[in-house]
Amino acid sequence: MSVSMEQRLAALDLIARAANSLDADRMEDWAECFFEDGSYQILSRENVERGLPLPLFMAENKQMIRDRVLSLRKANVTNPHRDRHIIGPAEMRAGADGEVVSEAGFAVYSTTPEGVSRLFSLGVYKDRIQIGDAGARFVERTAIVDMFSIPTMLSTPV
Amino acid sequence: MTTNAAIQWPAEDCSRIPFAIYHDPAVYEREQEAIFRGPTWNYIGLEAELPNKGDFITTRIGATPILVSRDKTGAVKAFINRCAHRGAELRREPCGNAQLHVCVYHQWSFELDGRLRGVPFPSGVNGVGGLPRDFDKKAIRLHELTVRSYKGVLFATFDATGESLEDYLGEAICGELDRMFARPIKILGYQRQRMNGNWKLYNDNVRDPNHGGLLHMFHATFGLYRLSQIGGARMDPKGRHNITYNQLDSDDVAASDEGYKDTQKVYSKGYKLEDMRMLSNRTEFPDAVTLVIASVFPNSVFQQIANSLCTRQIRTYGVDEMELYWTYFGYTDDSEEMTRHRLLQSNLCGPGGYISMEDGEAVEIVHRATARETDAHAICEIGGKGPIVDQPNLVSEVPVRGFYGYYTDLMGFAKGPQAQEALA
Repeated sequence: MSVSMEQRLAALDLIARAANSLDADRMEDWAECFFEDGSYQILSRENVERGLPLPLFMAENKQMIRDRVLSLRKANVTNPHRDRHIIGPAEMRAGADGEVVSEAGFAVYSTTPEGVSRLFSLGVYKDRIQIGDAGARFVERTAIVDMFSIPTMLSTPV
Repeated sequence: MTTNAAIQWPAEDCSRIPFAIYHDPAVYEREQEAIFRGPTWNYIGLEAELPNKGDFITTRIGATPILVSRDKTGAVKAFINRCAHRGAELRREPCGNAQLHVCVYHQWSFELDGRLRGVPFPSGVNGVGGLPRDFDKKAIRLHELTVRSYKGVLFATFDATGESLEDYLGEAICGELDRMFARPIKILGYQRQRMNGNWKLYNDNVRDPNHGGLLHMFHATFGLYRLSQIGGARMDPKGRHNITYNQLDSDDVAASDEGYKDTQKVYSKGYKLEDMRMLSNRTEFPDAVTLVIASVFPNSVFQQIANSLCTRQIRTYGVDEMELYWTYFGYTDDSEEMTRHRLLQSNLCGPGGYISMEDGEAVEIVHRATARETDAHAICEIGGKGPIVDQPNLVSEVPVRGFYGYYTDLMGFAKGPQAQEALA
Protein backbone atom coordinates (compact mmCIF):
# COMPACT_ATOMS: atom_id res chain seq x y z
CA MET A 1 0.00 0.00 0.00
CA SER A 2 1.24 3.43 -0.80
CA VAL A 3 1.18 6.42 1.49
CA SER A 4 -1.15 9.30 0.64
CA MET A 5 0.25 12.74 -0.08
CA GLU A 6 -1.34 14.07 3.13
CA GLN A 7 0.22 11.30 5.21
CA ARG A 8 3.55 11.84 3.59
CA LEU A 9 3.51 15.57 4.27
CA ALA A 10 2.50 15.01 7.90
CA ALA A 11 5.25 12.43 8.38
CA LEU A 12 7.86 14.69 6.76
CA ASP A 13 6.75 17.52 9.00
CA LEU A 14 7.28 15.31 12.06
CA ILE A 15 10.75 14.25 10.91
CA ALA A 16 11.68 17.91 10.36
CA ARG A 17 10.18 18.96 13.71
CA ALA A 18 12.20 16.32 15.59
CA ALA A 19 15.44 17.44 13.92
CA ASN A 20 14.80 21.15 14.29
CA SER A 21 13.87 20.75 17.96
CA LEU A 22 17.17 19.04 18.71
CA ASP A 23 19.15 21.53 16.62
CA ALA A 24 17.60 24.46 18.48
CA ASP A 25 18.29 22.79 21.86
CA ARG A 26 14.57 22.32 22.44
CA MET A 27 14.86 18.73 23.64
CA GLU A 28 11.54 18.98 25.49
CA ASP A 29 9.82 19.66 22.15
CA TRP A 30 11.69 16.72 20.64
CA ALA A 31 10.24 14.48 23.39
CA GLU A 32 6.77 15.66 22.36
CA CYS A 33 7.32 14.11 18.93
CA PHE A 34 6.63 10.68 20.53
CA PHE A 35 3.46 8.95 21.66
CA GLU A 36 3.25 8.09 25.37
CA ASP A 37 4.21 4.50 24.61
CA GLY A 38 6.50 5.49 21.76
CA SER A 39 10.04 4.14 21.84
CA TYR A 40 13.40 5.51 20.77
CA GLN A 41 16.70 3.77 20.35
CA ILE A 42 20.11 4.31 18.86
CA LEU A 43 21.77 1.18 17.52
CA SER A 44 25.29 0.64 16.26
CA ARG A 45 25.37 -0.83 12.75
CA GLU A 46 28.18 -3.07 13.97
CA ASN A 47 25.81 -4.77 16.43
CA VAL A 48 22.85 -4.84 14.05
CA GLU A 49 24.89 -6.64 11.40
CA ARG A 50 26.16 -9.17 13.92
CA GLY A 51 22.68 -9.80 15.27
CA LEU A 52 23.61 -8.42 18.69
CA PRO A 53 20.92 -6.58 20.66
CA LEU A 54 23.00 -3.99 22.54
CA PRO A 55 21.86 -0.39 21.96
CA LEU A 56 23.86 2.81 22.34
CA PHE A 57 20.78 4.21 24.04
CA MET A 58 17.24 2.95 24.44
CA ALA A 59 13.99 4.37 25.76
CA GLU A 60 11.08 1.98 25.89
CA ASN A 61 8.48 4.72 26.38
CA LYS A 62 8.04 8.47 26.56
CA GLN A 63 8.73 8.49 30.31
CA MET A 64 12.25 7.27 29.58
CA ILE A 65 12.58 9.81 26.78
CA ARG A 66 11.63 12.61 29.20
CA ASP A 67 14.04 11.13 31.79
CA ARG A 68 16.85 11.42 29.25
CA VAL A 69 16.04 15.07 28.65
CA LEU A 70 15.77 15.76 32.40
CA SER A 71 19.10 14.11 33.08
CA LEU A 72 20.82 16.03 30.28
CA ARG A 73 19.36 19.25 31.65
CA LYS A 74 19.93 18.68 35.36
CA ALA A 75 22.49 15.98 35.99
CA ASN A 76 24.93 15.29 33.16
CA VAL A 77 27.92 17.38 32.20
CA THR A 78 28.09 17.52 28.43
CA ASN A 79 30.61 18.88 25.97
CA PRO A 80 29.38 22.34 24.96
CA HIS A 81 27.99 21.90 21.46
CA ARG A 82 25.10 22.52 19.11
CA ASP A 83 23.88 20.03 16.55
CA ARG A 84 22.67 20.36 12.97
CA HIS A 85 20.78 17.55 11.29
CA ILE A 86 20.85 17.02 7.55
CA ILE A 87 18.24 14.47 6.51
CA GLY A 88 18.05 12.78 3.14
CA PRO A 89 14.88 11.99 1.18
CA ALA A 90 12.57 9.66 3.08
CA GLU A 91 11.29 6.47 1.53
CA MET A 92 7.82 5.76 2.89
CA ARG A 93 5.34 2.94 2.78
CA ALA A 94 2.14 2.09 4.58
CA GLY A 95 2.51 -0.16 7.61
CA ALA A 96 -0.01 -1.95 9.81
CA ASP A 97 -2.85 -0.03 11.52
CA GLY A 98 -2.50 3.02 9.29
CA GLU A 99 1.12 3.62 10.29
CA VAL A 100 3.63 5.20 7.98
CA VAL A 101 6.93 3.33 7.84
CA SER A 102 9.75 5.64 6.88
CA GLU A 103 13.45 5.30 6.22
CA ALA A 104 15.80 8.25 5.70
CA GLY A 105 19.54 8.74 5.87
CA PHE A 106 20.87 11.46 8.18
CA ALA A 107 24.02 13.29 9.17
CA VAL A 108 24.47 15.22 12.40
CA TYR A 109 27.18 17.84 12.55
CA SER A 110 28.27 19.13 15.91
CA THR A 111 29.59 22.65 16.42
CA THR A 112 31.79 23.85 19.28
CA PRO A 113 31.39 27.23 21.02
CA GLU A 114 34.31 28.38 18.84
CA GLY A 115 32.27 27.72 15.74
CA VAL A 116 34.15 24.65 14.59
CA SER A 117 31.96 21.91 13.17
CA ARG A 118 32.65 18.23 12.71
CA LEU A 119 30.63 15.26 11.63
CA PHE A 120 29.22 13.75 14.80
CA SER A 121 26.91 11.05 13.54
CA LEU A 122 25.86 9.41 10.33
CA GLY A 123 23.20 6.80 9.86
CA VAL A 124 19.63 5.97 8.99
CA TYR A 125 16.33 6.65 10.76
CA LYS A 126 13.85 3.82 10.66
CA ASP A 127 10.57 5.28 11.86
CA ARG A 128 7.06 4.10 12.52
CA ILE A 129 4.77 7.10 12.48
CA GLN A 130 1.08 7.33 13.38
CA ILE A 131 -0.93 10.28 12.15
CA GLY A 132 -3.86 11.36 14.29
CA ASP A 133 -6.02 14.43 14.79
CA ALA A 134 -3.25 16.16 16.72
CA GLY A 135 -0.73 15.55 13.95
CA ALA A 136 1.97 12.94 13.44
CA ARG A 137 3.93 11.27 16.26
CA PHE A 138 6.55 8.54 16.44
CA VAL A 139 5.38 5.12 17.53
CA GLU A 140 8.97 4.01 17.20
CA ARG A 141 12.16 5.69 16.06
CA THR A 142 15.36 3.70 15.58
CA ALA A 143 18.55 5.44 14.54
CA ILE A 144 21.09 2.96 13.21
CA VAL A 145 24.45 4.70 13.16
CA ASP A 146 27.26 3.96 10.72
CA MET A 147 29.53 6.12 12.82
CA PHE A 148 29.44 3.76 15.77
CA SER A 149 32.68 4.91 17.34
CA ILE A 150 31.16 7.88 19.15
CA PRO A 151 33.31 11.03 19.16
CA THR A 152 33.80 12.25 22.76
CA MET A 153 30.34 11.45 24.10
CA LEU A 154 26.75 10.79 23.12
CA SER A 155 24.62 13.27 25.03
CA THR A 156 21.97 14.96 22.88
CA PRO A 157 19.80 12.38 21.11
CA VAL A 158 20.53 12.03 17.40
CA MET B 1 66.72 7.93 28.02
CA THR B 2 67.63 11.29 26.57
CA THR B 3 64.27 11.95 24.94
CA ASN B 4 62.58 12.06 28.32
CA ALA B 5 65.18 14.07 30.20
CA ALA B 6 62.94 17.12 30.40
CA ILE B 7 60.15 15.15 32.06
CA GLN B 8 60.41 15.39 35.80
CA TRP B 9 58.78 13.34 38.53
CA PRO B 10 59.59 15.48 41.56
CA ALA B 11 57.72 13.26 44.03
CA GLU B 12 58.81 9.69 44.77
CA ASP B 13 55.18 8.78 45.56
CA CYS B 14 53.89 10.09 42.17
CA SER B 15 51.82 12.78 43.88
CA ARG B 16 52.99 15.05 41.07
CA ILE B 17 52.38 13.85 37.50
CA PRO B 18 54.16 15.67 34.66
CA PHE B 19 51.65 16.80 32.03
CA ALA B 20 54.25 16.26 29.31
CA ILE B 21 53.75 12.47 29.46
CA TYR B 22 50.34 12.99 27.86
CA HIS B 23 51.75 14.87 24.89
CA ASP B 24 55.36 13.93 24.17
CA PRO B 25 55.49 11.77 20.99
CA ALA B 26 58.76 10.23 22.20
CA VAL B 27 57.04 9.06 25.38
CA TYR B 28 54.24 7.52 23.32
CA GLU B 29 56.74 5.69 21.12
CA ARG B 30 58.54 4.34 24.16
CA GLU B 31 55.26 3.24 25.76
CA GLN B 32 54.45 1.09 22.75
CA GLU B 33 57.68 -0.86 23.32
CA ALA B 34 58.16 -0.73 27.09
CA ILE B 35 54.52 -1.15 28.08
CA PHE B 36 52.29 -2.60 25.36
CA ARG B 37 55.08 -4.83 23.98
CA GLY B 38 56.73 -5.12 27.37
CA PRO B 39 56.19 -7.53 30.28
CA THR B 40 52.50 -6.68 30.65
CA TRP B 41 49.39 -8.76 30.00
CA ASN B 42 46.96 -7.02 27.67
CA TYR B 43 43.28 -7.82 27.38
CA ILE B 44 42.47 -9.00 23.85
CA GLY B 45 38.91 -10.31 24.12
CA LEU B 46 36.67 -12.98 25.58
CA GLU B 47 36.65 -16.67 24.66
CA ALA B 48 32.89 -16.35 24.15
CA GLU B 49 33.61 -14.13 21.13
CA LEU B 50 35.30 -17.01 19.32
CA PRO B 51 33.58 -20.18 20.51
CA ASN B 52 34.26 -22.33 17.43
CA LYS B 53 37.36 -23.61 15.68
CA GLY B 54 38.26 -21.17 12.92
CA ASP B 55 36.59 -18.21 14.65
CA PHE B 56 38.68 -15.06 14.75
CA ILE B 57 38.48 -11.47 15.94
CA THR B 58 40.71 -8.50 15.27
CA THR B 59 41.74 -6.17 18.04
CA ARG B 60 44.64 -4.01 19.12
CA ILE B 61 47.33 -3.93 21.80
CA GLY B 62 48.24 -0.28 22.11
CA ALA B 63 48.74 0.71 18.47
CA THR B 64 49.61 -2.79 17.21
CA PRO B 65 46.87 -4.56 15.23
CA ILE B 66 46.21 -8.04 16.63
CA LEU B 67 44.49 -11.10 15.15
CA VAL B 68 43.02 -13.54 17.67
CA SER B 69 42.24 -16.90 16.13
CA ARG B 70 40.97 -20.26 17.42
CA ASP B 71 42.89 -22.97 15.63
CA LYS B 72 41.89 -26.47 14.55
CA THR B 73 42.83 -27.94 17.95
CA GLY B 74 40.61 -25.39 19.71
CA ALA B 75 43.54 -23.38 21.07
CA VAL B 76 43.33 -19.58 20.99
CA LYS B 77 46.30 -17.93 19.30
CA ALA B 78 47.15 -14.26 18.93
CA PHE B 79 49.32 -12.78 16.21
CA ILE B 80 50.29 -9.38 14.98
CA ASN B 81 47.65 -8.86 12.30
CA ARG B 82 50.22 -8.47 9.58
CA CYS B 83 51.20 -10.71 6.72
CA ALA B 84 54.69 -12.18 7.15
CA HIS B 85 55.43 -11.37 3.49
CA ARG B 86 55.26 -7.64 2.91
CA GLY B 87 53.38 -6.54 5.98
CA ALA B 88 49.81 -6.05 4.76
CA GLU B 89 47.00 -6.19 7.25
CA LEU B 90 45.99 -9.84 7.12
CA ARG B 91 42.41 -9.74 8.44
CA ARG B 92 40.48 -6.58 7.73
CA GLU B 93 37.16 -7.54 9.30
CA PRO B 94 36.25 -7.30 13.00
CA CYS B 95 35.35 -10.99 13.24
CA GLY B 96 34.64 -14.08 11.20
CA ASN B 97 35.30 -17.78 10.70
CA ALA B 98 37.94 -19.16 8.35
CA GLN B 99 39.95 -22.27 7.54
CA LEU B 100 42.98 -20.20 6.59
CA HIS B 101 44.10 -16.61 6.87
CA VAL B 102 44.85 -15.44 3.33
CA CYS B 103 46.44 -12.08 2.62
CA VAL B 104 44.60 -10.18 -0.13
CA TYR B 105 47.75 -8.49 -1.41
CA HIS B 106 49.73 -11.51 -2.76
CA GLN B 107 47.57 -14.39 -1.58
CA TRP B 108 50.03 -15.82 0.90
CA SER B 109 48.03 -18.17 3.11
CA PHE B 110 48.57 -19.03 6.76
CA GLU B 111 47.25 -21.85 8.91
CA LEU B 112 45.11 -20.90 11.89
CA ASP B 113 48.11 -21.62 14.11
CA GLY B 114 50.22 -19.07 12.20
CA ARG B 115 52.31 -21.36 9.96
CA LEU B 116 52.83 -20.32 6.34
CA ARG B 117 50.83 -22.71 4.20
CA GLY B 118 51.20 -21.55 0.65
CA VAL B 119 52.65 -18.98 -1.73
CA PRO B 120 51.14 -18.70 -5.25
CA PHE B 121 53.41 -19.71 -8.14
CA PRO B 122 56.20 -20.97 -5.85
CA SER B 123 58.17 -22.26 -8.87
CA GLY B 124 57.33 -19.30 -11.06
CA VAL B 125 56.23 -19.89 -14.65
CA ASN B 126 58.14 -22.34 -16.86
CA GLY B 127 60.88 -22.50 -14.30
CA VAL B 128 61.42 -18.77 -14.26
CA GLY B 129 60.55 -16.54 -11.30
CA GLY B 130 58.97 -17.73 -8.06
CA LEU B 131 60.72 -18.47 -4.81
CA PRO B 132 64.44 -19.10 -4.55
CA ARG B 133 65.53 -22.67 -3.87
CA ASP B 134 66.62 -21.96 -0.33
CA PHE B 135 63.28 -20.39 0.60
CA ASP B 136 62.40 -22.02 3.92
CA LYS B 137 58.63 -22.08 4.21
CA LYS B 138 58.77 -23.70 7.65
CA ALA B 139 60.75 -20.80 9.06
CA ILE B 140 58.03 -18.31 8.19
CA ARG B 141 55.16 -17.79 10.59
CA LEU B 142 52.95 -14.98 11.74
CA HIS B 143 54.43 -13.09 14.68
CA GLU B 144 52.82 -14.90 17.60
CA LEU B 145 52.11 -13.56 21.07
CA THR B 146 51.66 -15.62 24.21
CA VAL B 147 47.97 -16.00 25.09
CA ARG B 148 46.46 -17.07 28.40
CA SER B 149 42.84 -17.30 29.40
CA TYR B 150 41.62 -16.60 32.91
CA LYS B 151 37.97 -17.66 33.33
CA GLY B 152 37.44 -17.12 29.61
CA VAL B 153 39.04 -13.68 29.63
CA LEU B 154 41.88 -13.60 27.10
CA PHE B 155 45.13 -11.77 27.76
CA ALA B 156 48.23 -11.69 25.58
CA THR B 157 51.79 -10.59 26.05
CA PHE B 158 54.70 -9.88 23.73
CA ASP B 159 57.16 -10.71 26.50
CA ALA B 160 56.34 -13.90 28.37
CA THR B 161 59.59 -13.94 30.32
CA GLY B 162 57.97 -12.00 33.16
CA GLU B 163 55.21 -12.88 35.57
CA SER B 164 52.59 -15.54 34.82
CA LEU B 165 49.14 -14.14 34.09
CA GLU B 166 47.82 -15.15 37.53
CA ASP B 167 50.78 -13.54 39.30
CA TYR B 168 50.42 -10.45 37.15
CA LEU B 169 46.71 -10.05 37.86
CA GLY B 170 47.14 -10.83 41.54
CA GLU B 171 44.61 -12.18 44.02
CA ALA B 172 42.30 -9.17 44.05
CA ILE B 173 41.78 -8.97 40.28
CA CYS B 174 41.55 -12.77 39.96
CA GLY B 175 38.89 -12.62 42.67
CA GLU B 176 36.87 -10.09 40.67
CA LEU B 177 37.17 -12.13 37.48
CA ASP B 178 36.16 -15.27 39.42
CA ARG B 179 33.09 -13.36 40.56
CA MET B 180 32.08 -11.80 37.22
CA PHE B 181 32.85 -14.86 35.11
CA ALA B 182 31.52 -17.50 37.49
CA ARG B 183 28.91 -18.56 34.93
CA PRO B 184 29.21 -19.01 31.13
CA ILE B 185 28.64 -15.69 29.38
CA LYS B 186 26.99 -14.56 26.19
CA ILE B 187 27.99 -11.44 24.28
CA LEU B 188 25.29 -8.74 24.06
CA GLY B 189 27.17 -6.32 21.85
CA TYR B 190 29.77 -3.61 21.50
CA GLN B 191 30.11 0.12 21.94
CA ARG B 192 32.98 2.32 20.89
CA GLN B 193 34.03 5.78 21.94
CA ARG B 194 36.75 7.92 20.33
CA MET B 195 38.46 10.39 22.56
CA ASN B 196 40.85 13.12 21.51
CA GLY B 197 43.12 12.49 24.43
CA ASN B 198 46.06 10.44 25.61
CA TRP B 199 45.32 6.85 26.64
CA LYS B 200 46.71 7.32 30.15
CA LEU B 201 44.11 9.97 30.91
CA TYR B 202 41.49 7.24 30.74
CA ASN B 203 43.55 5.01 33.03
CA ASP B 204 43.73 7.94 35.45
CA ASN B 205 39.98 8.33 35.22
CA VAL B 206 39.14 4.75 36.18
CA ARG B 207 41.60 4.85 39.09
CA ASP B 208 39.96 7.89 40.58
CA PRO B 209 36.94 6.95 42.72
CA ASN B 210 36.80 10.57 43.84
CA HIS B 211 35.46 11.79 40.48
CA GLY B 212 32.62 9.25 40.42
CA GLY B 213 30.34 11.21 42.69
CA LEU B 214 31.54 14.64 41.50
CA LEU B 215 31.74 14.55 37.71
CA HIS B 216 29.02 12.01 37.14
CA MET B 217 26.08 13.98 38.48
CA PHE B 218 23.53 11.37 37.49
CA HIS B 219 24.96 9.17 40.23
CA ALA B 220 24.63 11.85 42.82
CA THR B 221 21.31 13.24 41.65
CA PHE B 222 19.53 9.92 41.60
CA GLY B 223 21.40 8.30 44.50
CA LEU B 224 23.10 5.45 42.67
CA TYR B 225 26.55 6.38 43.91
CA ARG B 226 27.65 9.05 46.30
CA LEU B 227 31.03 9.58 47.84
CA SER B 228 29.50 8.99 51.28
CA GLN B 229 28.45 5.45 50.36
CA ILE B 230 30.25 2.36 51.57
CA GLY B 231 33.05 1.71 49.13
CA GLY B 232 36.73 1.97 48.51
CA ALA B 233 39.65 0.95 46.36
CA ARG B 234 41.77 -2.20 46.48
CA MET B 235 45.02 -2.64 44.60
CA ASP B 236 47.50 -5.37 43.81
CA PRO B 237 50.81 -5.28 45.72
CA LYS B 238 52.42 -3.20 42.95
CA GLY B 239 49.54 -0.72 42.86
CA ARG B 240 49.21 -1.03 39.08
CA HIS B 241 45.70 -2.48 39.06
CA ASN B 242 42.75 -1.11 40.96
CA ILE B 243 39.32 -2.17 42.06
CA THR B 244 36.86 0.54 42.97
CA TYR B 245 33.70 -0.82 44.59
CA ASN B 246 30.68 0.49 46.40
CA GLN B 247 27.23 -0.39 47.67
CA LEU B 248 23.93 1.14 46.70
CA ASP B 249 21.71 2.68 49.33
CA SER B 250 24.45 2.83 51.90
CA ASP B 251 25.02 6.54 52.09
CA ASP B 252 25.15 8.71 55.10
CA VAL B 253 22.84 11.65 54.35
CA ALA B 254 24.49 14.02 56.82
CA ALA B 255 27.94 13.26 55.42
CA SER B 256 26.66 13.79 51.88
CA ASP B 257 25.13 17.15 52.74
CA GLU B 258 28.34 18.25 54.44
CA GLY B 259 30.70 16.95 51.75
CA TYR B 260 28.82 18.37 48.78
CA LYS B 261 28.24 21.73 50.49
CA ASP B 262 30.58 23.85 48.35
CA THR B 263 30.00 22.10 45.05
CA GLN B 264 27.82 23.39 42.25
CA LYS B 265 24.71 21.58 41.18
CA VAL B 266 26.21 18.21 42.00
CA TYR B 267 23.96 17.02 44.73
CA SER B 268 20.38 18.02 44.08
CA LYS B 269 17.88 16.22 46.20
CA GLY B 270 14.45 15.50 44.91
CA TYR B 271 14.98 14.61 41.26
CA LYS B 272 13.24 11.43 40.32
CA LEU B 273 13.07 9.49 37.12
CA GLU B 274 9.61 8.79 35.74
CA ASP B 275 10.66 5.26 34.92
CA MET B 276 12.94 3.88 37.63
CA ARG B 277 13.36 0.35 36.24
CA MET B 278 16.79 1.14 34.88
CA LEU B 279 18.09 1.75 38.40
CA SER B 280 16.91 -1.48 39.99
CA ASN B 281 19.59 -3.98 40.94
CA ARG B 282 18.77 -7.67 40.83
CA THR B 283 21.11 -9.36 43.23
CA GLU B 284 23.09 -11.97 41.34
CA PHE B 285 26.35 -12.14 43.27
CA PRO B 286 26.88 -13.56 46.75
CA ASP B 287 27.68 -10.11 48.16
CA ALA B 288 26.13 -6.66 48.43
CA VAL B 289 28.48 -4.91 46.02
CA THR B 290 26.62 -3.08 43.24
CA LEU B 291 29.47 -1.28 41.50
CA VAL B 292 32.87 -2.65 40.58
CA ILE B 293 35.33 -0.97 38.28
CA ALA B 294 38.37 -3.26 38.11
CA SER B 295 41.19 -1.72 36.09
CA VAL B 296 44.04 -3.88 34.87
CA PHE B 297 47.29 -2.29 33.73
CA PRO B 298 47.65 -1.19 30.97
CA ASN B 299 44.58 -1.58 28.76
CA SER B 300 41.49 -3.02 30.41
CA VAL B 301 38.60 -2.45 32.75
CA PHE B 302 36.04 -4.94 34.03
CA GLN B 303 32.76 -3.41 35.05
CA GLN B 304 29.71 -4.29 37.08
CA ILE B 305 27.21 -1.47 37.47
CA ALA B 306 24.21 -3.16 39.04
CA ASN B 307 23.39 -5.78 36.36
CA SER B 308 25.27 -4.10 33.55
CA LEU B 309 28.41 -6.12 32.92
CA CYS B 310 31.14 -5.31 30.44
CA THR B 311 34.79 -5.11 29.62
CA ARG B 312 36.42 -1.94 28.36
CA GLN B 313 39.58 -2.01 26.29
CA ILE B 314 41.83 0.98 25.67
CA ARG B 315 43.23 1.14 22.12
CA THR B 316 45.75 3.81 21.23
CA TYR B 317 45.71 5.79 17.98
CA GLY B 318 48.64 8.12 18.54
CA VAL B 319 49.63 10.30 21.47
CA ASP B 320 46.44 12.39 21.08
CA GLU B 321 43.76 9.81 20.39
CA MET B 322 42.31 6.62 21.82
CA GLU B 323 39.34 4.38 21.33
CA LEU B 324 37.50 2.80 24.20
CA TYR B 325 36.00 -0.53 23.11
CA TRP B 326 33.17 -1.80 25.31
CA THR B 327 32.05 -5.45 25.22
CA TYR B 328 28.79 -6.09 27.08
CA PHE B 329 27.76 -9.51 28.22
CA GLY B 330 25.19 -11.44 30.21
CA TYR B 331 25.04 -15.08 31.20
CA THR B 332 23.94 -17.92 28.95
CA ASP B 333 21.26 -18.90 31.47
CA ASP B 334 19.72 -15.40 31.60
CA SER B 335 16.01 -15.34 30.90
CA GLU B 336 14.84 -13.19 28.00
CA GLU B 337 13.48 -10.75 30.56
CA MET B 338 16.86 -10.57 32.36
CA THR B 339 18.60 -9.88 29.05
CA ARG B 340 16.12 -7.07 28.45
CA HIS B 341 16.93 -5.68 31.91
CA ARG B 342 20.66 -5.75 31.16
CA LEU B 343 20.09 -3.96 27.84
CA LEU B 344 18.02 -1.30 29.57
CA GLN B 345 20.73 -0.92 32.18
CA SER B 346 23.35 -0.53 29.46
CA ASN B 347 21.94 3.02 29.31
CA LEU B 348 23.97 3.69 32.44
CA CYS B 349 27.35 3.30 30.80
CA GLY B 350 29.10 3.47 27.45
CA PRO B 351 29.72 6.60 25.37
CA GLY B 352 26.16 7.81 25.99
CA GLY B 353 25.73 6.29 29.44
CA TYR B 354 24.09 8.31 32.18
CA ILE B 355 27.01 7.73 34.53
CA SER B 356 29.89 7.46 32.12
CA MET B 357 29.32 9.84 29.21
CA GLU B 358 31.28 12.59 30.97
CA ASP B 359 34.52 10.62 30.99
CA GLY B 360 35.10 11.35 27.30
CA GLU B 361 34.83 15.04 28.03
CA ALA B 362 37.05 14.73 31.14
CA VAL B 363 39.82 13.10 29.11
CA GLU B 364 39.58 15.73 26.38
CA ILE B 365 39.51 18.82 28.60
CA VAL B 366 42.65 17.70 30.45
CA HIS B 367 44.34 16.84 27.17
CA ARG B 368 43.44 20.20 25.62
CA ALA B 369 44.41 22.37 28.53
CA THR B 370 47.77 20.72 29.22
CA ALA B 371 49.07 20.53 25.64
CA ARG B 372 51.64 23.28 26.07
CA GLU B 373 52.79 22.40 29.60
CA THR B 374 56.36 21.19 29.55
CA ASP B 375 57.21 21.57 33.23
CA ALA B 376 53.88 21.72 35.09
CA HIS B 377 52.42 18.85 37.08
CA ALA B 378 49.06 17.46 38.13
CA ILE B 379 48.47 17.38 41.87
CA CYS B 380 47.50 13.95 43.11
CA GLU B 381 47.13 14.03 46.90
CA ILE B 382 43.50 13.15 47.66
CA GLY B 383 43.48 10.14 49.95
CA GLY B 384 46.96 11.03 51.18
CA LYS B 385 50.58 11.03 50.05
CA GLY B 386 53.33 8.50 50.69
CA PRO B 387 52.75 4.75 50.63
CA ILE B 388 50.27 3.46 48.07
CA VAL B 389 47.78 1.40 50.04
CA ASP B 390 44.17 0.22 49.80
CA GLN B 391 41.61 2.93 50.40
CA PRO B 392 38.68 2.37 52.77
CA ASN B 393 36.47 5.02 51.19
CA LEU B 394 35.79 6.71 47.86
CA VAL B 395 37.34 10.13 48.50
CA SER B 396 40.67 9.09 47.07
CA GLU B 397 42.86 9.19 44.00
CA VAL B 398 45.65 7.06 45.46
CA PRO B 399 45.21 4.36 42.77
CA VAL B 400 46.31 6.93 40.15
CA ARG B 401 49.63 7.09 42.00
CA GLY B 402 49.71 3.30 41.96
CA PHE B 403 49.39 3.29 38.18
CA TYR B 404 52.30 5.72 37.79
CA GLY B 405 54.47 3.89 40.30
CA TYR B 406 54.50 0.88 37.99
CA TYR B 407 54.43 2.96 34.82
CA THR B 408 57.58 4.88 35.77
CA ASP B 409 59.35 1.60 36.60
CA LEU B 410 58.57 0.15 33.16
CA MET B 411 59.46 3.39 31.40
CA GLY B 412 62.69 3.89 33.32
CA PHE B 413 61.72 7.30 34.69
CA ALA B 414 63.62 8.29 37.81
CA LYS B 415 61.47 9.80 40.55
CA GLY B 416 61.97 11.99 43.60
CA PRO B 417 63.99 15.11 44.43
CA GLN B 418 67.38 13.43 44.12
CA ALA B 419 66.59 12.09 40.67
CA GLN B 420 65.58 15.57 39.58
CA GLU B 421 68.82 17.06 40.91
CA ALA B 422 70.78 14.44 38.99
CA LEU B 423 68.89 15.43 35.83
CA ALA B 424 69.74 19.09 36.41
